[in-house]
Amino acid sequence: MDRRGPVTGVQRTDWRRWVALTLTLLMAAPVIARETIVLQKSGTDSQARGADATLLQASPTTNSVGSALTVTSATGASQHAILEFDLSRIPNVGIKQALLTLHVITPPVTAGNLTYGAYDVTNFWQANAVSWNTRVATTAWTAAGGDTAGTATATATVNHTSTSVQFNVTTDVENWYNGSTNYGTIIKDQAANDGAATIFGSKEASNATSPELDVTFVQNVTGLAATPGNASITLNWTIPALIGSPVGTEKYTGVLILRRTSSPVDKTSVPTDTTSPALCSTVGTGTVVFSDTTGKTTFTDNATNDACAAPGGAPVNGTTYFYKVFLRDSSNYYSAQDQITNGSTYTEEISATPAATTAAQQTTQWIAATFATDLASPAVNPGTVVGVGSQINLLFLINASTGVRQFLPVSVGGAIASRSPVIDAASSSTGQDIVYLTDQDGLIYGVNADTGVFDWIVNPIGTGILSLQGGPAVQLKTVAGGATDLVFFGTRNAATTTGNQIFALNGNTGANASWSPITGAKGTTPDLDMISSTPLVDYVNNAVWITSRSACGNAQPSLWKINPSTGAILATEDLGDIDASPTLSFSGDVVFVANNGDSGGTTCKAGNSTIYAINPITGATLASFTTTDGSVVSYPIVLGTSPPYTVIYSGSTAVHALSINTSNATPTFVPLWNMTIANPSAPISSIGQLFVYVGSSDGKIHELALNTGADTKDAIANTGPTKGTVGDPSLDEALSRVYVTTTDQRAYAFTIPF
Amino acid sequence: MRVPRMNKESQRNIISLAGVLLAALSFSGCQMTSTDGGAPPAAPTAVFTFCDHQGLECEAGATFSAAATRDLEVEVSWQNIPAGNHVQTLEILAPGGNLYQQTQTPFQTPESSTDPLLSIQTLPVAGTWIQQRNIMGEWTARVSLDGQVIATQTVELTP
Repeated sequence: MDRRGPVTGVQRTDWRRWVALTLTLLMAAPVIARETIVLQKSGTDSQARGADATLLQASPTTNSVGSALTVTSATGASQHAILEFDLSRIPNVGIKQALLTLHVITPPVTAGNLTYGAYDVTNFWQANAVSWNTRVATTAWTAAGGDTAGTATATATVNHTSTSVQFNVTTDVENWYNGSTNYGTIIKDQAANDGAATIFGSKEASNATSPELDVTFVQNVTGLAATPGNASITLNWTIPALIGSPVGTEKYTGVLILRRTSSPVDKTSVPTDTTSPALCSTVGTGTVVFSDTTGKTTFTDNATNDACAAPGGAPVNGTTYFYKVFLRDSSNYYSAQDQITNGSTYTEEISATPAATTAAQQTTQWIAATFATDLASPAVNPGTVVGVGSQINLLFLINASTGVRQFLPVSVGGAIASRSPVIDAASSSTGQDIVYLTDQDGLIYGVNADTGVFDWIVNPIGTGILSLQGGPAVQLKTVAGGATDLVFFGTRNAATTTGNQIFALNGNTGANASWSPITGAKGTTPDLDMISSTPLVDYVNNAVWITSRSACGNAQPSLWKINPSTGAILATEDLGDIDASPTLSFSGDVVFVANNGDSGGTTCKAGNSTIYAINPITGATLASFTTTDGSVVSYPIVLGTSPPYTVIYSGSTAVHALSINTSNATPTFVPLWNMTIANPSAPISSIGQLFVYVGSSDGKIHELALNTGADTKDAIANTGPTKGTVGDPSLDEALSRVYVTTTDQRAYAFTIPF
Repeated sequence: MRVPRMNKESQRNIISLAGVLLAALSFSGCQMTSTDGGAPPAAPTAVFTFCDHQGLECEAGATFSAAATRDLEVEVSWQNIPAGNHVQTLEILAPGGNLYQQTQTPFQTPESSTDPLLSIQTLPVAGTWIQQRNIMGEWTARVSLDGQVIATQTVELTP
């Protein structure tokens, strides 16, 4: 007799078994999502940003890049495989699954299973330099054999009959799409000293055996645009064509749209895959205002179509609304990362402000996630690409027209805290679109702006770590002559007020110029305090101008004029601490620079700046003007093709304009106008523009009339609960746009004039 | 509070064994537990110290003048970290909660070590957006170990 009871009880047990079996099968079934792509070196995918190497414990300084990747566990002779994929083919997707496959060339000779672990790499490395001991040039790993997470993301077994081994690295790949640096994966034997080795195909091997990453994903919509009206906002988008192979019969069926007032929908506000939130329901900080499974590509948010209660409902004139548009498939998988511990910022979003009149209506051209604060002016290749750094070690290159990132952000070794100039191919001595950047890992990079491939990475001092804050400046061979472009930057080593350095690198190779570096307090070089600014390349006077601090006083230089070819110090001026970058007039006849206005004494405390007009030939001061509004922010700008010039600068509370006629024998600065703006950014304008643009801590970009300073109109970046301070703007005159980044971890584009 | 200083390179390398002095400050006999007594291992803990590194001295505090601070050092003293590879994630949140900067630092603790670990991260202040854009108020440092938040501490920056 069944001790569990009568016959009905046995039937119930069978039923439970069937349910359990069904659940097991369901759990084992592949993730249902829209499409899958195989990332592997092939005739059509060079995996240009892909890289791999074997780390050899027995030859700990050897860079081993070859046709094989080896994993071995042996005392003193272990080997780890390190590899990274080029994800450029799928830059704008929500990851649903990622399977890493290594193809076995030579299986282990011993019987039995070996367990290998796939570990997320946690430090930057360079394929042509990496070894067991070092990750970049002479920079050591923190832990020999490669810095990794403590726990394997996935494990898999391999034995002497294996032809391949597969790891589920979904979590890591999702994180790479979600603001974490992508330093790739290390494969290690989980056992210590088992004496077994497995040889896998590498990227350099035949295409069929090179490492493979099978990624299942949902794309984002494309072409998202918002058109404001009177108490209405119309959104349009395109459902993208497949770029991979469809999984099963799933199809993109429509979109789910979340809306939030005054701030972007929070990054943790993501619909859960396989569910369909009801219309008007709340998902985190967003309200579902549109839910479609019929393939619609437009939605007008107005009283007719949006009957949701507040915070949904018809848009109110004068209020800014932010929309996040999730593409969905027929199983309700969305264009966001599955795991949302850190949020899933990268989903297409847009904002608009309705108004009764066209003139008062407003919209962003695009919004792009940057995952961390950046207040530097975005770098611009007009009409083509916008470059934005991030203090979580990422460089974003964004399509200037669409706001879509060109490829997955480039992961570098440290925080990027400055503007990274983008040089177009026609102007660059490299013959390609290139970005130069400095980071707080002490490295300098030349990055192909079209592919994200590193052209070169250097530590200009070989051993040790430079402290870098300001961005690089580039002298173009096409303008200045010489052999190649030159890249200039200075160090911000706060621990010394005398021994900072100025570098010049070959723009094609990263090699130090013959005279580089100049080191303060060395030989006849005066003391050189820290440099936080970006140098100024002066083609007219064949010079590079650099500003520095000066130990909180006027007893050592803070303005430096350097001969770019020889490194000769052509002039120095003791103007007191300077953090702002210098500016040159259009015709190159005056340099403008603003000091910090230090109060002096042992505690160096910034006060009211003095702005200097400098003779660029002699370095002598032509005129000066003591401000009354704190220190000048970032840099002054100068407008006009000839004297008199208009100099515009931001202080702590306002934007100010001065005029100076440097053709006079004794020129003087004459105040023109002041406009109160909360914590203004550096201003931006250009010759021929009628307006000056400036960011603010009020979450707006202000458009000031050049002639009067009148605050004619504002563009809203983010004025709501997550209001961000708006950084230094950049102009794109090819597209008539202004670009800004903000502390709300996004970049925004607006059409100008507003 | 003063903590042992490290040379410049080790400051940049972030994690280092802090040595006997900090161990003496941090441990007491009653905190030491026998590994064979069956007690679960103590959970990792982290304590923040902020200091303005002027010259050789590192003066700890909870409030700093951004106009007078070149670098703010964020020091994290760890205890009870199990042996193996780990990753420290230090997030610096600006007033209002937006992420300002994040650094990930891999490190390794040896099997036999019971010494506390000291992490030092530098937050540049002078000449940065903090000073230039007057991002003042209550900043937050949040440190995680292997993805788990362990400690959070605020520090105030004043003009």
